[in-house]
Amino acid sequence: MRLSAIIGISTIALVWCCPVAAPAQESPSVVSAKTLTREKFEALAPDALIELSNGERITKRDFLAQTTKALEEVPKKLQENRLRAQAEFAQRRKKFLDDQDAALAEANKKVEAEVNRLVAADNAAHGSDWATRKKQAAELLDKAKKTLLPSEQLQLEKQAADLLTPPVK
Amino acid sequence: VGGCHGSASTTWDATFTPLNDEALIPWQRIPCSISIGFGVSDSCQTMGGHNFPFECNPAGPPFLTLPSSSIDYQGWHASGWGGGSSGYDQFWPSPSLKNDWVFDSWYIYWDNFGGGSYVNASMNSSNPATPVVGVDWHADACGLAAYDGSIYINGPSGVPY
Repeated sequence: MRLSAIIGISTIALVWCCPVAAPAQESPSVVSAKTLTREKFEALAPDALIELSNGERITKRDFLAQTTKALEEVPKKLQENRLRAQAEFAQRRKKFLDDQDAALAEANKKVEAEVNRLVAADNAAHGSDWATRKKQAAELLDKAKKTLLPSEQLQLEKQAADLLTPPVK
Repeated sequence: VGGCHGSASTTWDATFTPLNDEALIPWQRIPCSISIGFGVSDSCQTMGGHNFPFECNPAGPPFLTLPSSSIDYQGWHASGWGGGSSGYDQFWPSPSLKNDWVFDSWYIYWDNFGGGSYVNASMNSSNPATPVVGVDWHADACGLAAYDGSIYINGPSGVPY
């Protein structure tokens, strides 16, 4: 009787003094994405951790949420960037064409200046009415080509030659 | 240049340069190749599909619609679980550019997700009439590698390329 009382007290004391430790909380298992299959993924708890190949760890729940969001965004991002690229191209093309036009205008200015310089030099050598005389001479020569009378032809050619002869200074 | 009666016309040297323009190669003229072959989740241009594996995202739509394009080249690669997939895609103008039209520059934008998914793109323009876009990609386990781009060319205005 005394013995059983002692055992009883001891048991109570043991229970009160040293509660049995609860099993340690297990850290969620980490599953490598490389080893996952459809079945394994489906069997994972929402909080199960998946380790991706770059070392990133993510719960199944977050993985699904992120994937859904990313899939929604991919086409939008592609489209946005495409439109931006098209706008940039249009701008760049406009600038290219504008620059080209400006360069052409500048080059034509130089050509025009050179033509004017040469015409001026020509006039200085042949007289200020050189352009008019040349034109008249060309008309006479053209007329000479068409005439059937040799004497008239000679006369026209001579008139043209006179016009082309530089004035005596 | 001698003329009649001893007259001489003046000769001038002139250089004529054609007016140039810039353009985008239309996508219909950009064929492509995929090293791992076309599949429901591996596509370039209009070949293959834009599937994202159901096993990766049971709640999401399995087939996505990429924005349609009249000018761009594009590729899509998605992988299921496991080690992912990798490959090399190429795009080039066919037939080659003609009438002095040549490669000018290029554009590519990519978007990828999932672990170590990546897109590495390069341009080989050693033959300026046939520039080749090369895309080295990897779609990790349940990851995606998608891209979209354009090839810009330059040549004589009003002349077919």
